[in-house]
Amino acid sequence: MTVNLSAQRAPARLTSREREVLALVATGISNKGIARQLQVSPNTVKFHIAAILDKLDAATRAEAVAAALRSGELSL
Amino acid sequence: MSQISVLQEWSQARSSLSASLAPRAVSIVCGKHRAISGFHWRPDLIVTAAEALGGDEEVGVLSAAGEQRARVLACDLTTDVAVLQVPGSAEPASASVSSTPLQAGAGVVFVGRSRGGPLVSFGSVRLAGPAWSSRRGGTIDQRLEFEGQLDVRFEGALVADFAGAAQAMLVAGPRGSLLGIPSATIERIASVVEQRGYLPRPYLGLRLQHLWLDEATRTRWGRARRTVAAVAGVESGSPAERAGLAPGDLIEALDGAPVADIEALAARLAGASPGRTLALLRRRGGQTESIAIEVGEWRPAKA
Repeated sequence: MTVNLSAQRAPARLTSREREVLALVATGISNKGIARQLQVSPNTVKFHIAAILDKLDAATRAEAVAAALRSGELSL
Repeated sequence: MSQISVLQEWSQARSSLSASLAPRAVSIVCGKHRAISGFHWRPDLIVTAAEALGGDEEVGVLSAAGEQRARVLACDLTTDVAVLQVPGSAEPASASVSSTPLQAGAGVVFVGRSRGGPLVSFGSVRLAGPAWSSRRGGTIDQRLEFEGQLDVRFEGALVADFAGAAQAMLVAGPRGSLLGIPSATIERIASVVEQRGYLPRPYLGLRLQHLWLDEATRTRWGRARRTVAAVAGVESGSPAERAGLAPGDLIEALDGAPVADIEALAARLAGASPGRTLALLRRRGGQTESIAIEVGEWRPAKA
């Protein structure tokens, strides 16, 4: 049996905080809800989301979630 | 003379259809300067486009009756359906929802709202296909694409047929295309949100990656595509761990239907309610085995 690991470009790694934020984004809760959950300000959440979209080269939050699921950064 | 009356009747029919639907349409203010559309799905529930809300928790909703605040109850990024709650609205009787699916070529009306009043545009169905899995991991009950020209204020607008029945929600697709999220998908989400007050996210606790099979293996395993979802990690205490899944396992099928890749698995999972037990076809060491896995519910503590 031959199974080849995919040769896709490895996306920039998310920080563990960014993974936490993205996992919450995936559940569809609001930025404020995420902020409460992580005990940070809503602006910090927006900042993390902007960094996540940039790292994953995603235009939307849904794309970012899908990309992170594909790369195994986010669990299903 | 008779030509004029035909045109007048045609125009009359269009405006009376629009007028009958307009009370259901609302304008939703998200961010400081942006407004999209939405519409009443129940007297107290409004649906709109999830991605466009941009993570807001509360939004301003402008309806025929005036302006009020609405709480975002659920924002499903996989189907792009968001559900908002408006307090004690004695608004437009809920939707008559059509049970006749749209066919290609059928006429439709798009009804939204802006600060200036109802927005109406007429179009037609360019494509009506079977259910599909979105790249975002959602199951959309019918593929709908429309012909027509719209601006961003129509995002989240109601798509109704010429009998005045709700058929879909309008969302922007790739390259300016107009997609419809069908009523069945909206109802599936709205009914869960109505019962529970939020939309639970089904959860297995699997980190996955794609493997690409060589042609000989693909043929021997009888797979339609070369990709297969491989388990890269299993979260402790998760349904996946309880089911005995481990890194290296390949997921070939779920409930009897082959799973082509991670997106397809995500889409299938999104349609499963927490608590349900699914049969997962696992390949390990050259052997396939069907194992039972109970769908869990994602909790923020697991982040």
